[in-house]
Amino acid sequence: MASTSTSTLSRKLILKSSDGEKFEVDENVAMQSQTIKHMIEDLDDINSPIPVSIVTGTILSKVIEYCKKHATEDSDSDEQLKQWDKEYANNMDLNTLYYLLLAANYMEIKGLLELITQCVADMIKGKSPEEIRAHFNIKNDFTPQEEANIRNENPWAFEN
Amino acid sequence: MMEEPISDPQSEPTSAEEVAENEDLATEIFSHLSATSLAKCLRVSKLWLSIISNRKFISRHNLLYPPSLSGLYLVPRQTAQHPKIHFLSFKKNTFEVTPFVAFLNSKGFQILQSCNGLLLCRFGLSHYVCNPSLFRLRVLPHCPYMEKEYTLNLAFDPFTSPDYKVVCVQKLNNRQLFHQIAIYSSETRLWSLFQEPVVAPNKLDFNEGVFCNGAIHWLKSKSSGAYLDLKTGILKEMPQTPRHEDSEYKFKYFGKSQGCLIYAVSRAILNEYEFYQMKEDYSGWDLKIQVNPTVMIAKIPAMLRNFLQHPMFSQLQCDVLYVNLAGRDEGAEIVFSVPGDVVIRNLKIKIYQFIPDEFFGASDVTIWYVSNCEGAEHLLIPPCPMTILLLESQAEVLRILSADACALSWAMEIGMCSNPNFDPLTLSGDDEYFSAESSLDIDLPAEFFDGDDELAAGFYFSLPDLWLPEFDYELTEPLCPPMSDHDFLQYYSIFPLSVSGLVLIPKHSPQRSQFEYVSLTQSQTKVPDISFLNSLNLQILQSCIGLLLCFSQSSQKYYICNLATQHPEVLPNFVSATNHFALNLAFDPYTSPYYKIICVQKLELQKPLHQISIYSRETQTWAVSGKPFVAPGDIDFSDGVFCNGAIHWMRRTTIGLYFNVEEEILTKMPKPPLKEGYPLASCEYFGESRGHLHYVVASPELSFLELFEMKEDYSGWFLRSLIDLKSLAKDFPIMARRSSNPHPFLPRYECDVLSVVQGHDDEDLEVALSIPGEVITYNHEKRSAKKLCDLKVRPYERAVWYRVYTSYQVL
Repeated sequence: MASTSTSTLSRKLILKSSDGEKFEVDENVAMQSQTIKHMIEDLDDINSPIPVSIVTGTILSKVIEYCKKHATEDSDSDEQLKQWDKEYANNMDLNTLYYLLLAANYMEIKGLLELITQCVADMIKGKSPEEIRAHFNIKNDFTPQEEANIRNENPWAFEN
Repeated sequence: MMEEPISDPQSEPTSAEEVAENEDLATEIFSHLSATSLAKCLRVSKLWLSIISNRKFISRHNLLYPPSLSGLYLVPRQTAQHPKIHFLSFKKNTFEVTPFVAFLNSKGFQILQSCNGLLLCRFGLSHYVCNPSLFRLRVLPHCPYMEKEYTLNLAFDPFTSPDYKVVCVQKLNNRQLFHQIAIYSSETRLWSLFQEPVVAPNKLDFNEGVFCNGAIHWLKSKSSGAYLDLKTGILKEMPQTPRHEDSEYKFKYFGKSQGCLIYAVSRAILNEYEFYQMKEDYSGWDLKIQVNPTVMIAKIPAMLRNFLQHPMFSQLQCDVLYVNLAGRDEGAEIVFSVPGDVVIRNLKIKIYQFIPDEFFGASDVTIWYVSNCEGAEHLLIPPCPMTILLLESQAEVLRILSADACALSWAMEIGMCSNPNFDPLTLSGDDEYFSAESSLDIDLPAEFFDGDDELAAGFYFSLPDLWLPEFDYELTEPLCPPMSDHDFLQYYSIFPLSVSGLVLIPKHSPQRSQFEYVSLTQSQTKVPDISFLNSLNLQILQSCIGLLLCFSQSSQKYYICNLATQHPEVLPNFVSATNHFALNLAFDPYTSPYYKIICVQKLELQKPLHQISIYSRETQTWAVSGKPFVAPGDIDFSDGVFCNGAIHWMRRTTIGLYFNVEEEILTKMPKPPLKEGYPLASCEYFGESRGHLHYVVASPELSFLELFEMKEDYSGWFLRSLIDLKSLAKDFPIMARRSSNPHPFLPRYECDVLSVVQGHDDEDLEVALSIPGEVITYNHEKRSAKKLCDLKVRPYERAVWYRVYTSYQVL
């Protein structure tokens, strides 16, 4: 039994991104993703690559970077980890950040999801609705009538 | 780096869009935001509005950010008629003049009660429920029991429901001790009146009720008190209070903290204060805390000033303002009021904190404050549905029945801006008009906030009513040049109408939209002049065979404009409506030279009950049509398509409806032609052309657009055309610029349907599409597209969505 558990720990998995890039990772790193965890359970051949269908290689490598950091046993103090998280998120351009968020959502990695949603929430803070729309490139789907109502509810909020 | 907007024009910010449109992710992001930040997000898009207004989300948000006690609103008991409200901040441990308090004081609002962050206030003869977190005041509708001797009690628990209730108890004059009860629910916005009067136990006066565990509790002296269970509506007596027979003890406090009822008495001479807590099963009181404030005398000698003046009942000058079982360091805290100071006693860390009273010194006589008014932060309550301005004309005076903030800016503009000293509140208080159950949310002047952004999140207060100076509608020249009805119809039978072009107005534009005109006919080179719309400050709401329905922001009036004659005509206001309404233009020059306006009005805000009224240009009157009807919740009545004599509402709704304007019959549309699992948002276009209704489905997974057409007998949709975007992209590679970097959810091809145009011949079908930087038309028969024109928006600029309005050459 003991030998089995040791081998489980050191087991390697291969993740395959949407653009075909392959990543070899420790099982405990990959298992932080609930989605992959469920996939492994259904998997017969552990050695075949696990497709992460909607995540590109660039993004997947970032996800793995996060998971590796959060999987290490001899982990740093909470403080250090938080600092690492902060730098990790700050060193990313917005486009990557949002792709990463989509990936975290798809792969169900709670910590990463939490980290990035907080990051996005911080960006929204203090922004006017129009700035938020511009930021996310959101289609303003209010009819002129509704928009006029909303706009007038808070005219100063639209002043720049 | 994080604050930088996406500026690189080459990289499409598609991931951001995707995040913003993902309901789960958006919800996750919103749960990191405070109520004030969310107030701004509400106005971003319909999806965001619906996510944030979702009752589940609000409940969850309130659990994540439970309203935390931020301080006490203190009102001196024995001063002038309108005592000033003072706010004691627990965060700063000082008296603080918050903008909210300054506002209440400047207007003369009185706080009657507080309950978990909401306040019940009175101003003049009207009552308001206020949420200081969102700076929002909402008027409490009048109820028949709010007359003569009555009390109001607020009930709100963000952990169980995002809605609040108000209990009104009226004392019956003719029968001693008998009271009538009514309960108002913010969810239904209705008062429900109890059928049978109740007898007040223990001579209760039903003042200053304490809401706890789903019931309102009244206890004012050492008598046992009573509570009203709001679920069952049953009034019960509370157990006997401790020390009730002991004349040495004096009633000091009754309140709640952490879901527990607290009752306090003090003992004469010895100055022992005893705090009791109600047992969970309401079987009796347990002694929880004993405090002796005598130690404070060293610091506050004035506490002794009346001591021993009466040998039997001598008391220290020390009142209990508030008991908080979860104060700093989780210790119980008692807030005392003593001459010249407010003292917070923390029982766990065993400290006394003295906060100098900035308003009443030690030598002042008046030091009693109304206690139990707590302030709280982080509170979200469901947003008030937006109401629209309505006018009633009475004796040449217009009266606002119901309106939102929009209405005030209008009111300001026409009558009140000329008077900078105008104070809308001075106009309220006319009891006669309270019953209109009207609410008028009004913006405060911006300078009130002095650039405080967080405050700008919204500061409203409500008015029951407003009187406005005389105001007449101006009717300009008729839309059509003088021509007999017969001639008019004759003309159109000889020169059949066809759409001549499209007016495109960018949706995503911060400033006044720069419109684009796309001519669909080769022959016509003249661009219709819509600059007159801009000069009149008109916004286009709808187009129908050459006529435009417009809205003027400044005058809050609706206009019907003919692009050819450029004469805007004012739509007379209508009287009967009370809530939301949507207007739809119906005009068919083949049958009549007169247009009609179909108004769909939501009768009650919380119920999907709607009523149709019709304005006929011929008779120039409004008339109610048929009975109220229940409509699907997701239908947008402002987005109707007029075709074959009926207005159709079909875009992005589960069940579409159409209304035959002549026969005034409302019928269900066949199901939208969406495959299983397709979201309603896949509806890319819904419109008409030459009597044919078209519905275009665009799904991110598909590389083609499906164009459906309604069968003539309205029995269902059939697939009229498949537009292969992949092959189109061969001719217009810019459509596919994203495909080098494909996105998992977004359509691979950038292509929006502007219009579907049916030609004379049945096979003659063209679809106008906007792709980055240009407009192309797709010919169904040739299965290919050609370029129509360039757009003013260059391809490398951010994607633009247009509102599309058809343009016809109409007399």
